[in-house]
Amino acid sequence: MPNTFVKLATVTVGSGGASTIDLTSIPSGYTDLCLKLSTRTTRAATEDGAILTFNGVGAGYRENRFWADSSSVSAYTSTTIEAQYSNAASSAANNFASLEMYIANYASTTQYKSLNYASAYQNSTTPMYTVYLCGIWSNTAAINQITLDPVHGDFVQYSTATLYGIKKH
Amino acid sequence: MANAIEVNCETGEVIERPLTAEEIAQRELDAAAYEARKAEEDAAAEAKAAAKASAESKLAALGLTAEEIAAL
Repeated sequence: MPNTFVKLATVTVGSGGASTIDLTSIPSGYTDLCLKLSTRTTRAATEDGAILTFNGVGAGYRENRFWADSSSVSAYTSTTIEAQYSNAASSAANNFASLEMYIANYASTTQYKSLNYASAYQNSTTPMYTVYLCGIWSNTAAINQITLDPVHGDFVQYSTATLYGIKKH
Repeated sequence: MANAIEVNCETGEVIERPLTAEEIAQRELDAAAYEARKAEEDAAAEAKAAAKASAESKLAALGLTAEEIAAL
């Protein structure tokens, strides 16, 4: 079990916002990656999505997603990886969505890249949503870049993204 | 539209730059695809809720109490 986390990069969005967050030149010396997000966007709605791409490549993705509110659970599949079901401008003030994603064997040049995440759309009033996703990028290239792109809005100030490399002892 | 933020994980260098025309076009495609997918998800959720309400109504007509239906 990998048990050493090394912070590779962290971003805190400033007052001007961010249309995308791009983590580049990811070093290959780790076994897996862990990405942690705390986001809210400028979209004039309660929620927004954020699309994840590796190495700037837009194809080869597949996800299966479970989505639950307080009374029901639904499942969906898609050919993109929705990196987060993010809070947006019309959601309760000061609420940011949270996410932790695990990307296995990211530096492999022989395996497709599998990932999973748990994410929460936060709401201090109601409702709240829990999202669990498994995904795959059917590409054998080592991952050296991760891009997060809100679907409609921009990431607002104080949104954060932190990437960790995980190394076995 | 805000700038893109690029962080180099090896050097720690942070660059803020405007989106390229290609990136803006891709964002518009992503937004359209997202809306289509979200509409499908919402429709599926509504259909599921309607089916659940219908099933509960039929069970109630058979004589089950609300507590018994909730326990299923």
